Amino acid sequence: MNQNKITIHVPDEVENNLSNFAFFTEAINTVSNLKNSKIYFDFSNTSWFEANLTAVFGVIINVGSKNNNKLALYKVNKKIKTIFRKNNFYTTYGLGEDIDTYNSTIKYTIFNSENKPEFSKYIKNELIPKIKVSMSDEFKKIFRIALEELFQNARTHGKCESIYTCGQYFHSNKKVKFTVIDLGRTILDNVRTFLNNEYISADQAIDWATIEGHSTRASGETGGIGISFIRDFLSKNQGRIQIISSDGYWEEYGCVKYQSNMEHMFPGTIVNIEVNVNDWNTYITKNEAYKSDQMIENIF
Amino acid sequence: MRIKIIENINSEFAVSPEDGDKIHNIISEHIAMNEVVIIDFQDIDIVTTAFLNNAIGKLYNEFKPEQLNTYVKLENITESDLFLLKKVIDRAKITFSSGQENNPLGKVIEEEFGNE
Repeated sequence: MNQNKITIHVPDEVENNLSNFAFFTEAINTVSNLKNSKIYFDFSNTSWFEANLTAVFGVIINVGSKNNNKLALYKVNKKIKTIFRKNNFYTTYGLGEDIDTYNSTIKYTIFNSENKPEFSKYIKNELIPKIKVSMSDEFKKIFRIALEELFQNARTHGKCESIYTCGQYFHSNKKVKFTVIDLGRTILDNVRTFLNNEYISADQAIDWATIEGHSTRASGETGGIGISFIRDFLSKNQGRIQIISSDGYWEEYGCVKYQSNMEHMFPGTIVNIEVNVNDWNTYITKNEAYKSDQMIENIF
Repeated sequence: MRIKIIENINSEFAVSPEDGDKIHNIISEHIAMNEVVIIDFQDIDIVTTAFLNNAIGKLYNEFKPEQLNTYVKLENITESDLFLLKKVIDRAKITFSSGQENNPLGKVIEEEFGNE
């Protein structure tokens, strides 16, 4: 049987920007429609690949590998190959492994979306120890909470089977970049159903979902704090959050927001964050009367 | 009655809504029987709003704040967890007092202005 051959040209520089998320979204749509094909990912012009975006690439690989397709990576340069070998990406697909000498990769990992502690252990034992800068206990706590909230959002709103993650710690500028992806219900679907409004666009739906108090949780439940908590944290941190869901793109960098719609639809949700880890801001409002060993009463 | 969260969810990570439901159900049962319950956060490593919304926030749909103040106490809660809990409580009060949980259109129009 002649196999259909498709080549997907990976961009020259794969960075955390709209253009590359648009590329990934188009690529996942391409591969999901292929059967019995040989799919080549051509890296011959690619000089840079942001490590955290390995998570998105991994999703494309997994989707593309269905329907009896065969996949191949062509001309991956040494630098990118090293990233893939160190961050568990190549290991996952049986392509080899290198030791992470600088111990700065936050491994590409696919989590089951069941209620299990694996992600919490991964954050505590894999991600936080990679950050080689002194952090306040308060910052560490808030950062961990933000990551946990992202994961729980993917589980509960995405209603997906698997959640893909990957990250990277950059010691030179004291930043962490981290990506969480699910292929479940999109924010657009959830918000349109909840608001009973089929006219809301994908970027408007994401924007709605990021506002404190807005939640698509069922009647009898309360919510709408998780994403706004992350927004507040990153705003003060001068960090960045990007959310891609269906054809919506939404980003906030410090206090500056941008949103638009893409040509293609991502069949799930990507949340990408960039955090400055050399952060000594105060995030928790202190109460002078608080004592850790005292029973707390009358707070309701 | 003391409820040690770590024992009831079998984890030091109080992060998921499902685990929040476990705690909510226990608290709810005891309040319904007019029994004081002490929620013990001892040895809990991390807490999220996803957990607290279900463990505590949902109680506002069943009980008045006065009842919660009478029957629910907290122990060994860190300052950061208390900070999160207060956010959850503030949100739950809005959600369940104004009927917003049944009014998904309640936030669509953000403001109305221009009246004389």
